[in-house]
Amino acid sequence: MVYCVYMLIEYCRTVHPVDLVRDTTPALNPEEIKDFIKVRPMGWAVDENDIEALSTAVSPIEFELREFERSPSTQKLYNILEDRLERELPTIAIVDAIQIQEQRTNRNISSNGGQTEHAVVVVGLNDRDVYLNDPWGGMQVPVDRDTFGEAWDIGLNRLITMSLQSTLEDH
Amino acid sequence: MSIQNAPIDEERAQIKAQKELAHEIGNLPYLGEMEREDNEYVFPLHVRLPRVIFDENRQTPQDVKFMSSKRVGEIRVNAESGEVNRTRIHDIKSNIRQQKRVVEEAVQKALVRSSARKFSKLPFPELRYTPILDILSQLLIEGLIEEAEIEAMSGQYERHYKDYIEILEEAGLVRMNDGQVEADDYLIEIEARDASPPEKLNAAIAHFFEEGTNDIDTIRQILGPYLTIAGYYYMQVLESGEMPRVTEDEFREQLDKTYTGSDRELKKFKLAHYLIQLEDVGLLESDDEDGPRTWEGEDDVWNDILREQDLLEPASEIIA
Repeated sequence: MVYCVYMLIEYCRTVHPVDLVRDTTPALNPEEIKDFIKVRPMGWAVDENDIEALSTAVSPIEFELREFERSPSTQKLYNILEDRLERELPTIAIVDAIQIQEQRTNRNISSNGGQTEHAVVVVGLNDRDVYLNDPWGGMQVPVDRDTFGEAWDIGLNRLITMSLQSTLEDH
Repeated sequence: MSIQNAPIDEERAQIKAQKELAHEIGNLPYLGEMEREDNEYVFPLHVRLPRVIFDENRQTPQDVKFMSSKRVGEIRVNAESGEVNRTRIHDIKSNIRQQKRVVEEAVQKALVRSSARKFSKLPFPELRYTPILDILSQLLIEGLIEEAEIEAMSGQYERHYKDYIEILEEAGLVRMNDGQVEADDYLIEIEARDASPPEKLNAAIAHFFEEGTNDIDTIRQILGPYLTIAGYYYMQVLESGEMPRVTEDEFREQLDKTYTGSDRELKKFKLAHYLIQLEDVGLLESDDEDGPRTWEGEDDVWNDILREQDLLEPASEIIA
């Protein structure tokens, strides 16, 4: 999670197409991000308060933690991701790493059951695949939409979306 | 009121448990299949621990493997009040650590059994090992030990030697017969070989290590830092699927985690000596051609470990 947040901030600071976004986004290194994201012995445990505090620190970026208590349709997921990507903004998705890894490596991992929540950054989308920057597995990794949809349909179905302050959105 | 008619239904309870997990525990455990107990919904907490495999330089992740699923705690949701109770974080953590220990132990057992001959050639100055050598040497040279000889020692030594006689009995090397300790079948077979006494002693020790994997705690006490170092290295091979280059600092860190007090400092000081001895018997190999010296494993040792499939069962998920 910490490295996904770091990727998003660095993206805005160094890659985003709008000059003003790049110029005004502050730098935060992973250690500094840990001051905002709770990391417990059993992994990260992010909540709305963490994300709100983080947003204040990285203005003009605004993060939002979105939790869906009951599984929404995957179409809803893809609508959100597409909407963000059209605005040149990647999104953090919490997925089951086992399903993602199984497809990527073509290895049978899920037959033994279980799941492991893991944060990835969605950086692209087409009719067939979702493209992920995965702290465990490289950049622009393609995962087919069905697998990604199922891997996301766990726990609280969480996304961390990013937006820019309204003055910057207009650019 | 039955749980079916309670104010908190199954779905609501599940969401409460999910939130407790996500916001208070962490991302690694997951909820297992719900059970009902009186007026509570019980959600077992399981974990499939991920192990990220890095490249040779330990910089870039190359693969992720997942350990077997294990129950590490539970979350209970009261169907009447909606109150949430759960296993303490400290207990979940210690259950997870236990899972990791099982795999490490499996590798150590497989390593000891498959490389028993190599371990038997190590010079062991450790006090705990001495009685074993004394007993086996006495039997190889003198043929018998009178129980009265042991009983004549001071209480502490008597207990010490008797404990090791029991351990050697379990390994089929010695047996008690009418107040005497004598060679059992395996040691008799070794005695009959056309070999020098030191060679016979090594063969007996090798057999002891092969048979002793059921009692890995004793073997660990005897092999001490040698097993810590070699076990750590071959655990890395298991996880990465290749022979990584490991630095002395990394081994030092392992000794730091394994030992306490003044023993820790002594073991760390002796690390270089241990590594030289492990290289001498063919369990590790040093390489200082490209920059600072690193240590690598031996293919034959690793291939022998992989043959110990029964012992490696707890680690099968990682090997797959």
